[in-house]
Amino acid sequence: MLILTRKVGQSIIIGEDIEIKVLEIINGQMKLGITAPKNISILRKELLEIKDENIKAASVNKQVLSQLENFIKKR
Amino acid sequence: MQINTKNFGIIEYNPEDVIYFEEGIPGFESLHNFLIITDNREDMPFKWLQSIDDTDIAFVVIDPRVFKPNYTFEIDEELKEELQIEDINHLLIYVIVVIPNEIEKMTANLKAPIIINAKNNRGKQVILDNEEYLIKHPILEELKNAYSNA
Repeated sequence: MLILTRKVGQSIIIGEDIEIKVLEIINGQMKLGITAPKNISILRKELLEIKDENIKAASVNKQVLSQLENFIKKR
Repeated sequence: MQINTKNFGIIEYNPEDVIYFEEGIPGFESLHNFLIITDNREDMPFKWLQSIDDTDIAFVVIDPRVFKPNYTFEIDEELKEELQIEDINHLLIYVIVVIPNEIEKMTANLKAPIIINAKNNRGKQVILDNEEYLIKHPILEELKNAYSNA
């Protein structure tokens, strides 16, 4: 992993047309400004994990519901 | 109105009960209209978030406060505006549950709750910054405890 130190207001450039600028750092949170071509997808990493999790959740079937009911009844 | 669902067969619903997710939910961005299906059993803490646009898709959801009474988060201005929130007492909070074949290993996504403004039936799945809340939070033990204390 390449590690760079940047101050507020400074940027890094990736390739020819992607710029990531440090806008603000408050209480350990950093605000980044990203300039990139429209066809480049930019996502918070958690969003990918949440997508995967949602897709897993959606494949639940009805059998599980009766199992859940049994679980509640058994208590 | 009615739809034919994979899990529940044909269900009747009132168009007023449809919850609108402007952006869909992550992984299902094209699905905007959902129903909350509640079991008739009063003690059943799980509900279903059923898609109307793709009737094969339904999620098991639960109010996280059932097993985690101190579950809290901040509502920022952006969300307030998006869901047109006037009063937080109008909000319904659910988290999506993943139930593997081994039901004991079920987890809830505390990191990304589904927030619904019951006043206008607008909903959104929000990603919290809180690092304590996990995407895969095991819930069985906490559920059992919640019920044994009830």
